[in-house]
This record gives sequence, C-alpha cells and structure tokens, in this order.
Amino acid sequence: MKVLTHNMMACTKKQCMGKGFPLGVECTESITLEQEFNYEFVKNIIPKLDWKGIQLIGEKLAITIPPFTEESLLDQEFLKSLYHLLCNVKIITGSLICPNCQRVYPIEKGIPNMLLREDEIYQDVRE
Amino acid sequence: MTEKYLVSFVQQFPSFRLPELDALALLFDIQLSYDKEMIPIIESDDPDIESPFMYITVNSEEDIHKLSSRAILIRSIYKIFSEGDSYDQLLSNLNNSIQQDKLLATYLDGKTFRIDVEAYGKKYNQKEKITKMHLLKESSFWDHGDVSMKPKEGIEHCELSIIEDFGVERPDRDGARKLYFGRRLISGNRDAIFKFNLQDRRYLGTTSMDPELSLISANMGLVKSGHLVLDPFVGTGSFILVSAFCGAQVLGCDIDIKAMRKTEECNLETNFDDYGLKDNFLGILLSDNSIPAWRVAPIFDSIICDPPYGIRAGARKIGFKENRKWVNTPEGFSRDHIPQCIDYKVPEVMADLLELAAKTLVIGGRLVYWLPTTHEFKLTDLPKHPCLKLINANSFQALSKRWGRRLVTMEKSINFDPILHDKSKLTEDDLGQIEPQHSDLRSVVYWRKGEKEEPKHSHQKNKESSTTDSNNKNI
Repeated sequence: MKVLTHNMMACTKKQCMGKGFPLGVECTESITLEQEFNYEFVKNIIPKLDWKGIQLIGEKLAITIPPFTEESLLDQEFLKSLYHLLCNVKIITGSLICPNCQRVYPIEKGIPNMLLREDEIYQDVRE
Repeated sequence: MTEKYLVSFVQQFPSFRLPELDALALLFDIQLSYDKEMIPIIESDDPDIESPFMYITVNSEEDIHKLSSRAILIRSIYKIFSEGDSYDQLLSNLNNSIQQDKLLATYLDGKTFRIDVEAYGKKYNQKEKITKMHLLKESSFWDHGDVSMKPKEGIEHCELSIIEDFGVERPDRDGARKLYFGRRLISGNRDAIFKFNLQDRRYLGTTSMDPELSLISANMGLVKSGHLVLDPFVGTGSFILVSAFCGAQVLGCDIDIKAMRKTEECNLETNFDDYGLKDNFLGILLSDNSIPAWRVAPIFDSIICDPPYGIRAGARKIGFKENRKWVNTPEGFSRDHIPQCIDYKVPEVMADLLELAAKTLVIGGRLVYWLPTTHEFKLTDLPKHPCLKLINANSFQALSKRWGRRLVTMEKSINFDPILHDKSKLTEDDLGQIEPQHSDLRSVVYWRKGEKEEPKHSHQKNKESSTTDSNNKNI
C-alpha cells in the first residue's frame, strides 16, 4: 500500500462515517521505490489530500513534510518530497487503525484487508 | 479558422463510435462539430444505411493528431480533395476549382506521394486498384509533388487514397455509394489493442475485459495523465491497466483476494511490471463494494468497472448465510478469519456503485460501467443518483440474439451531501432501477425456448452454485 492510498482511505464501518480517518498506521515492513517525479499528478492530487493524514503518516515513517501553504504549490522541493512520500513509500506489512472505533485492519503483502467480519456488519445493521 | 476532415471509423461497435469521439473532444478540449444528421447513419446496424465515413470540423490539424492519439474506433483520418458519386464527378470536382488547386498545392507541393485504393464493403486486387488509379490520370494533382512508392530522404512522403464506399452486405455491387479522394493524414490508436492482447498477458481471469473495450471504456472515462482512477471490482485489472497506459495513477478493490493474486510471481501487479506501468500502479485493497473503504470526498477522476452480474462470476458481499445462526468469532482469530459471503443482488450492487461514485468522484468526474441488457432495455432500468447525470447509455454490444452489454457513462454534477443524499431520503425516482431487467440476468442469458427459465449450460450452473450460495433459488 502506497502512502497516497492511505490518504484516501477511511474505516469501513457505517458508524464511523465522517470520523474514520485518517487511519492510524503501524508499519513493520516497508520499501522505498525510486519512481520519477510526476509534476502533473502531484498538481492534480494536492486539492484532494487530507493534510492531517499526511502529517500522521509522515511522522510514523520519519519523513517530514513541511505544513502546506499557498506558496507550497510553487516550491519544487516541497512538491518533490510530497511525491516521494505519496508514491515511493510502500507499506508491505503492518496495520491500519480506525481513530473512531479502534478497528484494526491488517496489511499483508502490501494489500490492506478492509473486509469486516460478518458479525461486525450485523452490529451495523443493529444500530 | 476551422478545418474539415473525413473520419473513417472501424467497422465494429457502431454505437460506440460517436460517444468515444465526443469524449475525446472533451478530454483534449477540442471544438469539434459534425452534421447531427449523420448520427443515425454512423450508429446504425442496418447494412442499407450504415456507413463508417463522416466529416468532422475542428480548429486545426493538431486537433486531428490529438484525437487519433487516443481514438480506438477511428481507422484513419483524411484531408479530402474531392468527392463524388462517380469517377467523372470526382474528377470534375478535383479539376475545376481554384480552391481545389490551392488545397492540392498546400498538401502536395514539394512532397512525394503514393496512391492506394481503399474500398469499404469490397476487395480489390492490385490490378484492379491500378485500373482505378488510371481513372484519375486526367487530373491536375499529378502536377503537385512526385510519385514515389517509398519515402525519399529529406522529402515529406504522403499517402493519397481513393476511397470507395460500397457499404457492407449490399446485393448490388455495381457501383460505390460514394467516392472520396484525399490524403491520409493519420491512423487511430489501434496499436494499443495489440499491446494489451489478452493472450500475451501473464495474469488473466475468466472475466477479463478485452483490450479494445477496456481502452474505449478508459476513453469514455476521460482518463488522462495526472488523473486518479478506481476500479471497485478490479479482478485481474484490465481497466486499471489501460488507464495506467493512458497516464493515470490507478487503484483497485476486490472482495476476492484470489481474483487479484494467484501466486507471488503471477498476479495483478506483475501485469503492471510486464507492461512497464509500475509507476502508475498505486495498489489494491481487499474490500467489499457494499462497505467501501474510502473517505467521503472528491478523490477519483474516474471510476471504471464491469460489476459482477452473476452470469459468469457471481456477486458476493459479506453477511450471514440465512441458514446459519450468529456466533461470536473467537478473539485472536480475526486475522485469519475469512468472512462468509452471501448473494449480492445486482440492483443492490448498482445502487452501491452509484453511491460510491456520488461520494468519491470529483465534479465532472466520470463513472463508466458495463451493464448486460436485452434489446428490451428501457432507460428506467438504469440506476440513478441525484449527484450523477447520465451521459450515454446507447453503446450496445450484442453478445447473442437475446442479450448483450451496454456501456453506461455518467458524470458527477453535484457534490454529495451526507444529510440530503442519505439513502433513507432518496425515492425510487431519485434512484431509478424501476423493475430492472438486470435483477435476474441468469434467466435471460440461459433462457431457452420451451424450457422455462432453465440454464442453458449445465456445467455453468454447477460452477455458479459452488461459488455463490443462494443462486439456486433464483434459477
């Protein structure tokens, strides 16, 4: 799972709607890719980002991204380090934790398992 | 200044031609116009009236190059010097105007050219082609440029075409309906189809979408460089693979890990490696369409998918089987727990898909999906959502006499409001799917005359019932 994917995600439970992000991250194995900087994509993705999520995962992975301001859009260094965090860092093993209900979603072989157990769906229906 | 060009479409998929062209004009911000009276001719299946030739008007030749760089259903685009119903008319139109002479000078002076004869609905051998070329010998265009079969160094080489439009399956083949003479400027993006040939792909599934239709779907979704694209029923990843090829960053979800990942060495991700598109692959999630794992925010530029309709691959979602009592899952077992799945009714799949699109698409972002239908399809069958407007549902591919599939394109026009657009507040009017025919597609597909809604292929039935649980009661 690349960091960008994390930034778009939220807890799947209905009762966490609007409160289930950013998901907490525990990372036991990660890899860093070396992909070419894609300016067009970063420009397009910036308005969609959840900056709280960037801050949270940046701290966890010890990659600091300075706070986003109007000038950041023109700052090549900022855009490059943002791209690096979003698209080059891939979590292979770890877990995601909902900030609202504390549900833990495992990540294995780079794929987050966002499936709920059937009794959790049942809980949702009951509420 | 506007310029007129002749487009020659490929013969198949007539009802997809103009929607694709319109989508590409929008994608490249091209001011495109064509005679609206051509629509029934271009989209027709009827051999008496159909034709793959249509004039379009754009601002410059650059626009032509942009359109053809992505168009899957365009064979070639021409600058036409002259047209007519007969060779006499073609010649007199070519010779008798100063304007024509100017056009020839612009396109041919100082260049070399060769001539080819292309006939739609007829085949000519080389000898016959030469006879046709001789019919043009009394023309002034020979004064412009030099004939050469092969390009010469340092000189621009042109391909001139005599185009004869006979039409397919016409009993009287005495004469063409229309003749054109002009310079072939460029071909469509047909090479991309061969690049993504299914036989060459290492990781494949039974429901992998063929590359031609995948590429058309990506065009309808206005996928381009810098975009973020999602397929919520990703399977082996045909749509996201071609979307990545179009320059987008892509994500996929599936409820079945086995569909996305067969082995460590052969899975959805290795396909991206094989095509050199790894940089555009963001990843996949194991996730259930009925409980999506995305924030409610404008995130995706396009959502492109072929939802499971229970014809070949049955739709499933997590839930309790009816015959099983609810029991606590033991603590500490959660990581290895594989949830039970129950039947996921098609109208429900569609409603969830549209809600996902309403919640996560950007304004102007597109939802593109395939829907199996019969010829009795009505617009009221389609799912609707107050945040989405329908762009096109006329593109239909026949798969048998009884049924086929339709490519539906929608666009997000209003932002999702959690209170206003809560499921409980929306009526049948808002959500569509009024007695939809896709609520029981298996009975349509496997229907046989005289047998009351029995599946046609018994092995198919067995396969289905082993993967889905409560299908038996539908049959």
